[in-house]
Amino acid sequence: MITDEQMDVRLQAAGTRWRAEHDTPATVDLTALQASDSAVTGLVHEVLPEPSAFEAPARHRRNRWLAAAGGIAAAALATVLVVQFGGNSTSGAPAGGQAGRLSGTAWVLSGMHTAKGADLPVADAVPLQFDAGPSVLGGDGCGTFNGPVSVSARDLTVRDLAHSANGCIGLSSSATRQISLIQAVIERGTVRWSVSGSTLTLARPGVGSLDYTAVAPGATPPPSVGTAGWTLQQVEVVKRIGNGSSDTGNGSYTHARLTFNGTGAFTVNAPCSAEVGTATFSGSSVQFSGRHDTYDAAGCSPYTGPGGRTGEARELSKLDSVLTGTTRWAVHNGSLTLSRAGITLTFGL
Amino acid sequence: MPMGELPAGLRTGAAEPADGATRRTRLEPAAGGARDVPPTAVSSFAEFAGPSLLPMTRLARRLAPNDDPDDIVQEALLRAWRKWHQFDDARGSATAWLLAITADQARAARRGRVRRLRIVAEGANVPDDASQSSPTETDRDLDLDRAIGTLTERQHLAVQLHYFLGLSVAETAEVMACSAGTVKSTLFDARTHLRRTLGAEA
Repeated sequence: MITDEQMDVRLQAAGTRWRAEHDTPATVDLTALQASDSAVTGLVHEVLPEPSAFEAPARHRRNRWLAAAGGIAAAALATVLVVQFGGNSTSGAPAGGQAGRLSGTAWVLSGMHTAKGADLPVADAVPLQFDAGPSVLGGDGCGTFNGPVSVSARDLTVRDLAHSANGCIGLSSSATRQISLIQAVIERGTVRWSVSGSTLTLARPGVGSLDYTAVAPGATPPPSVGTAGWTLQQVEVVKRIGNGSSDTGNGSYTHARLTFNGTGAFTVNAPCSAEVGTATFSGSSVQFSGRHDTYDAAGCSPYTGPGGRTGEARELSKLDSVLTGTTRWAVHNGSLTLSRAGITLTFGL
Repeated sequence: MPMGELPAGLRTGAAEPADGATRRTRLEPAAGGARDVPPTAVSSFAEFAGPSLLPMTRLARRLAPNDDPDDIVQEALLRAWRKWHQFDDARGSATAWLLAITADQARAARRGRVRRLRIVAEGANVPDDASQSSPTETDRDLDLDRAIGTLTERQHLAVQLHYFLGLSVAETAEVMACSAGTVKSTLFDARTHLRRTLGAEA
């Protein structure tokens, strides 16, 4: 085996050769920094078969900027969203009572339709929920949004929407269309709503509509799990080495907070990121779906957590592996354990 | 660098006024609402980020070889632009700050690829993460690249920053937000792992 010094020399030489081969900087376009306003219209125009009354098509943008622009567009919407109470609004309606028909149920996206009624594929069964605030919390496949909502017999109006959107590059075109349509339908003020059976439909005339399906009763966590929230304390990984196996465990860098809200949604909050999705309990297993994360790298620089950014990233990758698909759960002595694919996460209250 | 003279690779296009003084450009409609920023701010940002563009590009290539480095760097610059007012040069150099953002962006790009792979039907023509590393000059470098791919994420980042970007230990520590001693021990662990891995293959 070569010595440490020889390895150092070999790496230095490889690095020098590699740098000599890669001495061209990326070509970037600073006009993109200035184009966020027109990116909003570009997004909407991309998803809609015909221009809507409130938008004019913007100049064409490169596709690879479409998803990234979504984050900016959402942020722009969050700040400039001034709800126009037009003809759709039913003023003076008993909002709290109507909101009661929506709250208490967890919904997941199950269908999308253009203004002409054509079906669009659902890329990600993102959650939507209302609480008694009344307020709305949902996802679009890229980030989460939440804010107060007023509900009348026919209309639903969101305002002062807060939106997180990060890590949105590299999405498929269907995912991008989904994000754009959700933003265009829900996040732009007044939208018509109706419930038929287990399906909630949100429709914005001239734009499109979204179907959400009520989550099954298993959405409510068992009493032992509850809704108080759990703090990550331990990550254990079973590594297979040769014919044997070994357990490795450590503490938690992030002390991420896992919360089941009681209506089928769960959230994970870590120092630099948050995740939201749906969780359905059944016996000793829980089905996680529709999970998406938000990650604000720039906001975390420089990172001061004990494990550093890489520590958090490594830990979150373990969380990702467990909070996916069917996972075993158990509560013993005040600790919640979630196990999947050789990884066990232990949470405490 | 004189104001208005942009580093190689940075393009402001038609939106950059020739006189640099009269037109105001609408920027950053994020929290706090849209604000008008004089176009000279873009030139200033170009000056701020320009010297870091090549190391950012190299890091993007090393950390996410299957993704377009232009996209990663562009997205990293967008985020840096939005957070520029938070940058504090007393806490580290601009290059370290931008490289840290680039590293996170490369990670986000990889996660985006995983998400996309979940969405796209199996069998779609998506390149495999492990199959297309950056081409290198010799088979020995290919072996080395393959072995580097087996390092832990932190060791991997330290090796890329120190050996392939050519940063000093202190600069690497700035990017990784840890001490120089931690970087040294991380690099030592990485070299030990590589020696064993390459020794076992020999």
